[in-house]
Amino acid sequence: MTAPAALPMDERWRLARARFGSVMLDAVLIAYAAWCMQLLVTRAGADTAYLARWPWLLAAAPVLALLWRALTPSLGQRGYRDRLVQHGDESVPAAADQRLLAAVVGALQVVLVLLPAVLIGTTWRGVLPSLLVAVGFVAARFLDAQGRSLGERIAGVRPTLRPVPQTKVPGPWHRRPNSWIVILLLLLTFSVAYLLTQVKLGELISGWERARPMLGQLTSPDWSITESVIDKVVETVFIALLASSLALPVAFAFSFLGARNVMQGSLLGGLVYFVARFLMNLTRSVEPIIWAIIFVLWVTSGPFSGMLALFVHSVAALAKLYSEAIESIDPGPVEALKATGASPLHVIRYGMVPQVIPPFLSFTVYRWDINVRMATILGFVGGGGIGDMLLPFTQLGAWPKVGTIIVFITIVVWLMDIISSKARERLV
Amino acid sequence: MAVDVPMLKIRGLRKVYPNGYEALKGIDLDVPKGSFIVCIGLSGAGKSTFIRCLNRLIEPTSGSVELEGEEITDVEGAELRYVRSRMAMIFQKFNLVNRASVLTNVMTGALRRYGTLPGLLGLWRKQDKEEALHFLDLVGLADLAPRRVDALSGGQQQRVAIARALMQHPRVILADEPVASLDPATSHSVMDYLKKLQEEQDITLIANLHFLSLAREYGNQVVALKGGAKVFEGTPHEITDQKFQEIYGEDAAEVEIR
Repeated sequence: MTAPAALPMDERWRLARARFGSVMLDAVLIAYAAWCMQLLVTRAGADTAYLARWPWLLAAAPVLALLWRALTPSLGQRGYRDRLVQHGDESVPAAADQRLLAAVVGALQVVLVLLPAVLIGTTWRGVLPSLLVAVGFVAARFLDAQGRSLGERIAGVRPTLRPVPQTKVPGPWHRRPNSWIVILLLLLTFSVAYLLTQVKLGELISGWERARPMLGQLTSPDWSITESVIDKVVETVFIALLASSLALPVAFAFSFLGARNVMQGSLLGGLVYFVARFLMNLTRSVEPIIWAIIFVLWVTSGPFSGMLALFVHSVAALAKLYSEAIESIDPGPVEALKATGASPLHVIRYGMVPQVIPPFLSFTVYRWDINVRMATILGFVGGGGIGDMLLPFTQLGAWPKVGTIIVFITIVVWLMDIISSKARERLV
Repeated sequence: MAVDVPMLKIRGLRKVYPNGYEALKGIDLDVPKGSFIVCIGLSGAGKSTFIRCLNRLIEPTSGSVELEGEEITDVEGAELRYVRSRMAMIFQKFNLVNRASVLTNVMTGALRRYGTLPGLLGLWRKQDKEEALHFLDLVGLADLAPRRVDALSGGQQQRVAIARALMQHPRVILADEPVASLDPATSHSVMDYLKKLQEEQDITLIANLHFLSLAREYGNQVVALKGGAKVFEGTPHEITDQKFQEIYGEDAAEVEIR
């Protein structure tokens, strides 16, 4: 049995990264399960004080994660596709006792790394030795020609990211430990969700008496305000239209900066991509209603502030959709344009833009549709549109008038939905 | 006269992909001016990587490529674009801009000669348009100029791609499986056009082909790749049955394409 050839450093780096990722993923799953269980046992709300006992959890989770993969390929390993194989023969997976040996040594390493921090405390006196020990163990991986950890060396196995041929047919789902772990995680998640949502099914029945008069009035609309409602509905539609159209060119420019296949290749490009993506996600994660509050303060209340709020949110949302459209284009024409000696801007203009115009227009029409729906509530904070009218009537309990408004909102949203789906059918 | 300077002089061309796969293991090749070189080999033998390392669509890991005596493996920016414009490329999937007209597609071959703004806006010069129409005439598509390319047949699309290549005023045409997406009859028509360019326009051709029968008919020199290494170089009739099995493996049988 000859020793396999030494792996290049970048391959060892990839291996180390995948193994770290998969152990951490398993550890996070285990810590999450522990958190869910204590929440269900104590019946408390989301208890963050529990996290104060983190040194215990921090040590236990990775140790358990390592033991998990000793018994069966763990979920983290499936996610990262990292496996252990015989050191001498890559086509033979590691045996159960070898996996256990490697995991136990790995668990001891984790304990050794955390010991100083747990014993001395989380000041630099304790953390520094921990870090040094951790760096030592990581360095040991890189010094080894096959990127093995100490435990893997002792057990005579080595890690690989290449698929290992299946030696036996996997058993039925209920015989695989991972199935039960997934079921347990799902059960825990929904139990915790039930607990934290404070579900009160009884109220649904006992509260009916309170809601009935309101629902009755809502269904007998007061048509005397029809004219002013229509005025406001028209305003709403045009707020949304302007916001969507103004967002189109800005998002167009932004989207190329946030598309991986445009920006890859250079360090500067990578940086711009990262910043563009970050800005997009940040802007998009703030809902239009929050933007409306900001702009009402900035430009005073009225339709203009609502339009600005929708515009900002639309730019971010459209830029993300556009970027994804750019990332999924056929690379062939881009390659062909590069091969003619065209400059990068010309490559984008002729290789990419013609391919993304139909999805871009389709997304924009869809955005207009969404914006009309969002514009109906911006008036609640002074952003103009039909919400301006809706708010005082709901506060006064003028339910027949609210009913009228709901009827017209429904008609407009319905029409917009039909128009936008017809338009998108034609475009794609 | 430096007649002996080859069009392309390739030395020790090697490509290792980031995942460690060595696609080319040091290729040496001289491509004489005006020749038609056919590159054969199984899928995955490195033909596509080889042809793309020549115009640097794929960066070679090491080795050198000289285009008419000029080293091109380290040129950058405008210089690289000039090199690429002299080596036009034709693809298996045509790689045309589908939502644009035939004429626009041909004009993209001239983009290197345009400034940023005129290129972006498509403000083509009159003589360039006339030239484009002339090349379309050459490949028999003059009357289709205003049509959208996605309305054309495969063979017509590949001829548009040839006209686009000519628009670059190339010295070399690199053809990567130019007829692999076409039916046999259309294949021959496209290959005939390429042969005509080599004979009448003094353009050097390097083509990757699946079918040995096409290589025999059109190539005046055949290079065979196997596992990223050159395993044969010679005239088409030097490929004996034994050579054939060396290149394609024991179980292979030669298929004629008529």
